[in-house]
Amino acid sequence: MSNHLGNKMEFIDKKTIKLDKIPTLLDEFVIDFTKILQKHAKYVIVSGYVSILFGRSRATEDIDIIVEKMSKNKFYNFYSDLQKNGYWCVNIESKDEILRMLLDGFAVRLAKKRNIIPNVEFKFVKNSVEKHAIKTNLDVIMPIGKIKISNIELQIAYKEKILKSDKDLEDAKHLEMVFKDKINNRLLEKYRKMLE
Amino acid sequence: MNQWFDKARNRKERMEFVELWAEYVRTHPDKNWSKQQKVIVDSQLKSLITPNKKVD
Repeated sequence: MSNHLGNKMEFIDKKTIKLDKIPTLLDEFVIDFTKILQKHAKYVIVSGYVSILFGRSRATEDIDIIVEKMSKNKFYNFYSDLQKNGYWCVNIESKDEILRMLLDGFAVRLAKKRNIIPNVEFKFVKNSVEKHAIKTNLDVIMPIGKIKISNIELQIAYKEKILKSDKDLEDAKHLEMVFKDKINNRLLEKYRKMLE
Repeated sequence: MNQWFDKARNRKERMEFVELWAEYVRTHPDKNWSKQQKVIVDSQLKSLITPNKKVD
């Protein structure tokens, strides 16, 4: 949808949102990271950044990304690609240890070299909700690139029913209001019940 | 309620602002709200970023 002042975010099909925003530094960081990641694995961005992407008036130190499990070789190729592009792991040094942590279900933090923040809190998928988030992802197309995010209904329900902090409840409210004409209310209720 | 700070009231006021801003985002072109958001997000992020010791 557009008027003389510019475009408004819109679903251009069931799985794709077009967003004509002026990118923040966080958006640029996320695009830079996911351009590398998407060459190696399926992923989905979840939690706070999803609300910030669609306008929440706050920043965050970390971007939560869930990634399908990778084999040793696949992960080493990905990590080598990251290093070539100026990234490092903030909390662990060796790539063997990083992979072991990921396979044990822990998250690792990846940032641009010499920086701690912003960082990507990177973890392998480990439960059915996270698998579902990857499977039902949305594409968001911005002028600076394309990213994959969790579907909006799941994000709202997860923040309301699982995370529940003041910040998360505000994020959920923001998404619910911004997408109030676009969300599938039946699906949202289903997720709310499922996560209760 | 704390004598100096009413947490419940603060929470309610914060949520009212979240709703007001979300309605603005919903009803205005992306470039309009994102220009304003960029000021907040970039400045918060810049204030958080501290250079780490050199890593090679």
